[in-house]
Amino acid sequence: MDAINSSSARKDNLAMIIFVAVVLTAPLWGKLIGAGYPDLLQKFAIFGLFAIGFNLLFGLTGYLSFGHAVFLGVGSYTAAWSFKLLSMNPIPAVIFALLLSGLFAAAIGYVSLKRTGIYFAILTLAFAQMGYNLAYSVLTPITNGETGLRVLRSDPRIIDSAFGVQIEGSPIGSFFGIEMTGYSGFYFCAAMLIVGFYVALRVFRSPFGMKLVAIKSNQTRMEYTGYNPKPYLLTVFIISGMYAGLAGALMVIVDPLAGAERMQWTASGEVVLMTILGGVGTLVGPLLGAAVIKYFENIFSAINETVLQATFDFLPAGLQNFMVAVVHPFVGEGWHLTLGVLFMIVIIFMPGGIMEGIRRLTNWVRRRKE
Amino acid sequence: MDAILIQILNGLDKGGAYALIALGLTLVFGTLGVVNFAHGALFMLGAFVSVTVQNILTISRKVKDESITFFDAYKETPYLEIWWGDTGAMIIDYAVPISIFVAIPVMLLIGLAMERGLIRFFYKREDADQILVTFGLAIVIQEIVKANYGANPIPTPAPEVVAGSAPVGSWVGLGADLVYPWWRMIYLSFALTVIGAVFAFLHYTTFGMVVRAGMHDRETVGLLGINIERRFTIVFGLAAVVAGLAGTMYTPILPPDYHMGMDFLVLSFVVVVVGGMGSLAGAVAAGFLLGILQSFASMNEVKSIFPGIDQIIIYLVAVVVLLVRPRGLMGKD
Repeated sequence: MDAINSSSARKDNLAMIIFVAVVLTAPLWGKLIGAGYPDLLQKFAIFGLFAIGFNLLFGLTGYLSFGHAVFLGVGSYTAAWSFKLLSMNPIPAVIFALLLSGLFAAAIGYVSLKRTGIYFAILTLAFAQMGYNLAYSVLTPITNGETGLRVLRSDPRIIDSAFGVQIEGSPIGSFFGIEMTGYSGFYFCAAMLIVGFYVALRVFRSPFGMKLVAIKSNQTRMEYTGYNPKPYLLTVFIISGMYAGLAGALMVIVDPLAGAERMQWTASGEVVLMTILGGVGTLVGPLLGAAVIKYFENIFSAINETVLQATFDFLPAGLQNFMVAVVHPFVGEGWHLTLGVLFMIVIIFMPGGIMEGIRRLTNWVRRRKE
Repeated sequence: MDAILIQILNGLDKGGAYALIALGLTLVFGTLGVVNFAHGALFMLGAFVSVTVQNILTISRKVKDESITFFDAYKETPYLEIWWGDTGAMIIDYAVPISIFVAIPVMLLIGLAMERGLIRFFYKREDADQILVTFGLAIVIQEIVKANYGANPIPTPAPEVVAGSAPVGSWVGLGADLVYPWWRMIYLSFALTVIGAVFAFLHYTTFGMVVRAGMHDRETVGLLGINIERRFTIVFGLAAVVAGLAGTMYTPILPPDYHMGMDFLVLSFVVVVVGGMGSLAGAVAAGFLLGILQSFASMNEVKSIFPGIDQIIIYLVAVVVLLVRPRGLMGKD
């Protein structure tokens, strides 16, 4: 909230420059923390976008959507079809994914936003489950069901074939000849992230953003001042859905495969978790949350029993086995357990997430100085 | 006619499970005002009580197989069979019904611990926080079960005696090919009994009266000098037991796995919403109604007209109900 009041154009520009610098140098500082490889950095950017978009809805208006993954899925499938039918160029894939996920968001939002609170959460959940179930059953011709939608060499690709572009090996997204894998894939995602972050910043600072915050703090009072909250809610729901669609499209752009499991409610839960962990209603929080979760997922799920044995090697044998037995359920396959525990701890003790932690810390330091 | 009857019957047992879970959800929402996303996990825990009981009963050691004479063969034989022979084997056979008696105290304890240990700190927090913390708890419970029991469904068969199907068709004179599995029939009557017991408890005991009063106006009941908090804690325990029993008895119909809770939870929410948030009768009615609807939607005749309808019918109904009649079928206000 205070972020909005203390806004000044110069401060925002500075923040934007720092943000761009941090994102573009990610491969460098990523190396320092052991995240310096493109796959993980791509995930940071993609899930960061997803969380930023989710936060626009949940953070600003307080409407908790439990079905945001459905837009992720729509974006993925659209991008995959754009790859199959039009071109391996990511640009049309992104454009179509934005359009279609926006369309879906408009339809789902129109219905869901008729209710608030728990009902809204359950309605969005119902829509997401509907989408997921359909993708697995009837829509198999479009989604290829359980196998997932693959981009094949033999697909028509009208635009590509018109320009005589040939594909050797397995199809990979290519931005006018630059293959969308590795660091070039990351930089494409990073560019999208920067654009997404900028748009979010503008929304936060705009009168439109103010109205959204007004909806969160007191919807009735807002109605009394003569504003109808519905159009604003629907608009932000669509924007938020488009962010998710973009994230879904990027997933396909860096790895041409779309599966229905991306739409499951667990995926919707994950983005909620990222947003909360980072800090609801803050600009950078969701991005931080997404990065932290993906970073630890990467580290934790790679740890197995052998690694643990080695880690606790310095302890006496009995204690070593005990420690391994204690820690083992939380790593490797059990990474989700750690995630669940972390989630609960954050909500119980620090509902403001990492950003609140940082704020508390700086306040404490400042007080110590005085 | 036969086809319709069989679909209704098929829908009833699933509807029974929905009704039991939704009943607990509504009870907790009506009294404590908390939307419990971990309620499905309680259903799943109940199912795993019966897996555990079955595992304990079948603890075994290797015994020399006497029927094979030309070489030494060993087979796993449960201790119960070694000690008591056929009686032991029968006890193992009845693992699922026996686990009911284990499930009641275990689920009660889990429920009370959950309310005292976590939920009570969230009465005054926002809806979103309640949803999120119970959602986190559900993940934790689910992952603990997964770590201990693996990710695959575990078969827990019904007792031998009721393994077959009841010739329902010939009872009512509709042809012998109309059959209904015994266990599903047992589940249905079990569900109805539990539902009846909960309603009787709420309507004919002083405790139940206070709880109902508390559902209407918590503050006034508190002002009358009644310790409403304590009673609501017990209500939470009761809801946990109901969900747990629903899961325990459901294991022969659906071999339990760690994510069954969430699968049922999402549907049960829809049931509660359709029935009317806070209306117990509505939850039960909607549970059976949606169970039957789902069963009709999975008929081939229906599917050929509306492909995929069986996958989405429940959600579709929920969307329509929320839009047309937001308070649900039987909800007040």
